Amino acid sequence: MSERQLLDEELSALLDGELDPGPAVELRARVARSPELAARLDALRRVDAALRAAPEPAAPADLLGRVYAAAGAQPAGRAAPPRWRRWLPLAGGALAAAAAGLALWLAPGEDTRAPVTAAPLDLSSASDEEIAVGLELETLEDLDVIEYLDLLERIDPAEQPGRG
Amino acid sequence: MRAEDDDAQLMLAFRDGDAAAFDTLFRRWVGRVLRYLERMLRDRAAAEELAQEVFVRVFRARQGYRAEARFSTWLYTIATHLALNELRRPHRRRPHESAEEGPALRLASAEPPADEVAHSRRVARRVERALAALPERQRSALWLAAVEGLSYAEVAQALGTTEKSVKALVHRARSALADRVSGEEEA
Repeated sequence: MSERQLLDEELSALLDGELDPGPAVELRARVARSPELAARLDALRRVDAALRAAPEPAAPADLLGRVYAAAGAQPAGRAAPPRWRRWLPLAGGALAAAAAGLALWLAPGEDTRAPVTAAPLDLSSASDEEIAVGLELETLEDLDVIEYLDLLERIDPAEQPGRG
Repeated sequence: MRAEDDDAQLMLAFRDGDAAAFDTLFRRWVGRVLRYLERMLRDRAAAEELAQEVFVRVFRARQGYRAEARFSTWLYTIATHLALNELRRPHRRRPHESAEEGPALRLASAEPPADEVAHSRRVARRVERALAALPERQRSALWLAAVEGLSYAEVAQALGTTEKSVKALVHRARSALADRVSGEEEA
């Protein structure tokens, strides 16, 4: 490597703040004494300035969404629904069964009154509290009971608790 | 708290389940990552695809994140590996845009003309053109050190090499660009 190249390498390291304090002071003093070295340092510095002037491009609006999709994840702010919400379809079934049972219980054979029917609960728009009231649950935590009931339906009756 | 520390804190928060922290990191860094990848690949569409992959890798690597290095060093290490791999693909598609008319320069050309601005623009155009002609590792080393402010040790980590090698890469790249610009000014 020629002396000019060696000097260029040191000037470059000086610009990047990669020289030790001693050599850096020495090189700065040398630059101050030499118009040629000062011009070279300025030329190297202008390269950096030109590179840094490049603006940051705007990312496509959908790029973050694409990242989430590729990662197989939900975007932030669209977190998975609460655990009990996953049982809404089952809750619907249980609610319908409960309503049917209630209707039978309320309708004696000789009664000619018009059947009293509650408006069906729209589970897609019902609030948590409305669902809880509809199911006669004391707390939203009781929705876990539905999960248990559903499991009971899926296993052999002989194996169900209390039937052994 | 320094911004870099803040980035590491966000990544740790993301690791611990704060999904919004990832969005913040993405918005904070995507522009710079895209700019770097554009310089490396000279292809806007390919740079976007790779930027997506960079952040997918960040997303997937969250559980193993330990904040042992600056977040930016880790991020640019991922981006550099992906870019160098992409450049080595045998059937890589050709760039859509020439170095002379890259996206940054098109944006700059919309500004009103003035002697000083026009001169700076000419210099920037020459530098961009010369940068595009550099070997890829020189291009990467110079960009990471001069523009992104990584130390030689951090650039060495990103490129998988030594600090001494980085010093030489940055020097060769910077000198080549300075010679090219000076030569064109004299011509």
